[in-house]
Amino acid sequence: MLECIEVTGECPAYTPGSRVIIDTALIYRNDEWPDSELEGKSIVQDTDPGHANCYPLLLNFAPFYRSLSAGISPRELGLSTTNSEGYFTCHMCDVQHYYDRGYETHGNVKFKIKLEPVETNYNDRWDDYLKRHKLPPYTE
Amino acid sequence: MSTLTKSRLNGKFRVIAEIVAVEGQCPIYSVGDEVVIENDTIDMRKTQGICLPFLAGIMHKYQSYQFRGGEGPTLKCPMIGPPRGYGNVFYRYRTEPLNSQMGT
Repeated sequence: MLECIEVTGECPAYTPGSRVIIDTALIYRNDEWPDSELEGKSIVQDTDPGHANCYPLLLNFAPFYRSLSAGISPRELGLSTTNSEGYFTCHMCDVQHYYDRGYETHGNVKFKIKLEPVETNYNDRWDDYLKRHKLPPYTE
Repeated sequence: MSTLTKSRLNGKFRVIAEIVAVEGQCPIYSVGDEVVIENDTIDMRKTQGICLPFLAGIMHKYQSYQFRGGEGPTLKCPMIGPPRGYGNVFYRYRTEPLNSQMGT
């Protein structure tokens, strides 16, 4: 789970507290942690402002998501100096950096990375599907 | 290189991502290092090293610079700088026109 902790300047997609939940390969945008009933599903509607994910940010995160999904600690990946939580930033510089050089742009976003253990993921759901339909390797 | 590949590589500019500053520690890059991209490929003779997370960061912009040219603002790599993390680098795109295009 990526939780936005700091925005300098204006980011069109994220505000402090925004959450991006990555379940192995599925990406959810969730500004509030869902109830148990809604767990794993986005409660943000298309019509809500700020429901979007930022594609460059996801591309920046791409080298790390699979290792983190496998439970490797952020410290091992160099994303943090502590074991429990990692940090990650988008590729825009802090807005002050641009002001100092005489021009403006939208700002930088910093995320905290939290690993939350899950009991099942989409691979398990796919496995259930195969069992239910008696598809290989569950043919009888 | 096959004819098909040659005909696809028709970038008009050489894209150079130059490291302009290092915040904290970076084990790979120092100030002045360059990653040179030409026709969708990295020119290893002029590139000091490839950091894959850095590469992921420049991946989505090099293509447009390759055709459009120009200079970009200073950007930074996705690693977090001190005090939370170890360090990150700041880089900037610049382009040089390619004299001869491959496959033309």
